[in-house]
Amino acid sequence: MELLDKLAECIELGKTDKNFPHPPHLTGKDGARELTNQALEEGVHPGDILKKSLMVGMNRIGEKFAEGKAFIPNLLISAKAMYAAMEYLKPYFDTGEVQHKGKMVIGTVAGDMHDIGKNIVKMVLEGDGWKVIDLGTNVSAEKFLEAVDENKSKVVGLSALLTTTMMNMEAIIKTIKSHDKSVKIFVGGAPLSSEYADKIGSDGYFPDPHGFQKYLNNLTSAA
Amino acid sequence: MNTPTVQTVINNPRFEELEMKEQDILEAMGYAGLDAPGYIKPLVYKYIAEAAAKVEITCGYVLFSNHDVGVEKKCITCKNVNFDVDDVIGIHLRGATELAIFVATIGDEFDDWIGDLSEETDQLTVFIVDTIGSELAEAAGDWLEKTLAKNFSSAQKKISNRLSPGYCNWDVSDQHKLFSLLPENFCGIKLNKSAMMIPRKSISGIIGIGENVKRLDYQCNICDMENCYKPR
Repeated sequence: MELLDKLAECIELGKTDKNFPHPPHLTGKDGARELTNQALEEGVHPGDILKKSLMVGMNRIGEKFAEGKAFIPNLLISAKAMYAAMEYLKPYFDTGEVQHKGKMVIGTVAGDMHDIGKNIVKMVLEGDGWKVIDLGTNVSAEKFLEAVDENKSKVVGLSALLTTTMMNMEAIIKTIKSHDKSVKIFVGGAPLSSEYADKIGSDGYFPDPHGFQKYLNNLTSAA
Repeated sequence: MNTPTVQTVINNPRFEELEMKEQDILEAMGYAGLDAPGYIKPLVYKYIAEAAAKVEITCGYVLFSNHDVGVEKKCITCKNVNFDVDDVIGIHLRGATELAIFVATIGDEFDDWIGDLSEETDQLTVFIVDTIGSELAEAAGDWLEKTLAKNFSSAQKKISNRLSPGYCNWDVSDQHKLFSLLPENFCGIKLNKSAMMIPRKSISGIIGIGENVKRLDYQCNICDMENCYKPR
């Protein structure tokens, strides 16, 4: 198996490094950490490692998740492996040798402290080459706006888990859009629906991170 | 002649009494009838064991009866508070002559534990511990239901399932009305403006009691909530 294919498999199945005990059939074999290092040492371009391994692996597990064939823990194990590989790629992002697909600001809206869903979206998008600015939980409209300005981000993700706090999304969307109409704002969270997302003026609702990731990729490739 | 009565009961069951099983956690994470990755199982066992030292389980209810209680198809009255509810709730509470407004919590140390883990470790660990906390809070609710059923069985009274704002099309903002029927800081639980309970691993709701109450399965077939844990 080619090195980059092996690495993609490690990301998909969540094999972080040689010592990591999962999955059983890869016990004792190199994981994402070792394979990424090896690829760089062999002169593989870091951009290729990102596109042909990390993105491929995260995409595969994301698809399984969307199809109900994998669950949140599987996604989180994959993300752990992806972050292990990303440590080696970070210097190349810093120098600009590898470019992010774009910048996205993400946060759980004011009044809401739930962050697991938001964190999963963040991981999936980072694994897909996005730079994600995570504002955490209980984020006000002003903080979102400040982050959009500071990072010159054109994509924002709002998360809420309660029907009471999802109502705060509308004000945040209005604040950002009145400042810059071109910013695309997406919403997610258990109580939301496409109808509600339309009603409050968002640019879309996605029930799973993989669907969101695919949409964003289409959006950026069309731009 | 019936006279209005209000009775308050608080219990502190032990961790072991909640009978939390590893399989419950694995199922809650999605692995119902499926084999979870071998790597996850030991983590679930480990953190359930650690959870025992992080919980302070408290559950209690305030019981309203007679003139204080009204049960109609789309409106439940408790003392001077009206809850506008969906048919689903009305069907469950049909025949109730008493209503228990209940809460159950595993305490705030568990929240602190999750907060610490969020800073110290990976998201998988945080997710597992968070799931354990949610399941423990529900298990405390199960314990309360069983205790209530036992207490009322001698009077030939039956109890409904527990029903909570946020489920069965009952608006979560009704939490504020529900908590207005409880003493302040009841069982150590506070409600914030967004109707979120603190400690976070807490549950609240209503249970109908009466000779003619029929304990039904959750009426998922007539409910249109897409994201509900009940039918799992």
